[in-house]
Amino acid sequence: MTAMLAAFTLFVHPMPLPSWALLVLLLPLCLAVAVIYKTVRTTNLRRLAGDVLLLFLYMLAGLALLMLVGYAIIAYV
Amino acid sequence: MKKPIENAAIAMVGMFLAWVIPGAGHALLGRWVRGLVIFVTIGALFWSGVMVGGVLTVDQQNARWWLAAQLLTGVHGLAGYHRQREVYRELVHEVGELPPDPLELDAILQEKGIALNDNPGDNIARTYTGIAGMLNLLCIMDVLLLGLMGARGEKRGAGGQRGAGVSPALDVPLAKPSEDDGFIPRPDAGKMPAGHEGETPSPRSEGQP
Repeated sequence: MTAMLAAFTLFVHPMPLPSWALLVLLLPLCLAVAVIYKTVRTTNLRRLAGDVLLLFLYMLAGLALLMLVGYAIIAYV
Repeated sequence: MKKPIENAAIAMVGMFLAWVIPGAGHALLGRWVRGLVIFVTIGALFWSGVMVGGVLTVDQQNARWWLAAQLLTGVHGLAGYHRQREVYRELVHEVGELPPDPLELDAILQEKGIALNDNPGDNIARTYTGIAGMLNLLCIMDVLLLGLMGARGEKRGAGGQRGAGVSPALDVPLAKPSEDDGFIPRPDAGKMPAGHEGETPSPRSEGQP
């Protein structure tokens, strides 16, 4: 691991990531999607931050629901 | 409203700018705040992906479909494309010719420590960069529609640039103005001029100077 980190160059070598990080990295992706979508769609820029936050939370709720459905299918079907 | 041909020309130029520099199309239409937000967000998303996946996040040999989406980010995608081409050019310089078998090629890239396939960050890196491209496509389409409609600047009360250059098509007074819409009524709106107090204002004179 130390040798790997010593040879690691940012933006050149793939980052050594623990598996749990993959799930966490979905959050910035969802946030970016919410920001761009609402920036394009909103009619009032003053409400942009609130709209983005609301959409972000909707997306998280949707993903959590999908996760539960997927888990239920795997566990009980 | 501007002429349709002029609108179409601005829409086309805006689309091209929106592709080359994400957000520039919106800036061309006078929507500076939106353009800045798009520029920062798409740039950050793309380079976050490259940071996770390394130089071969953009990869013309192993991920051509992703490359198509990544190139939609314009200058970011082109920079990523150029960087991976340099890697493959160096590789050709070292080994003579790229092996036709993808597994052999991957083995060479694994030795150099830059192979992204089979890396846990593979999906995240390519998804970040690909989604950045698809989001920019959304922005490009928005610029096309706004340009064709003749929209310039922010709608009044939209919180961005006010007034100047606003398209009449989008500058329709709100039916029920409220503080939430950013519409601030004139303090003397609805009052009759001196000497006419008590008269009922006609619809045409109400709120007029």
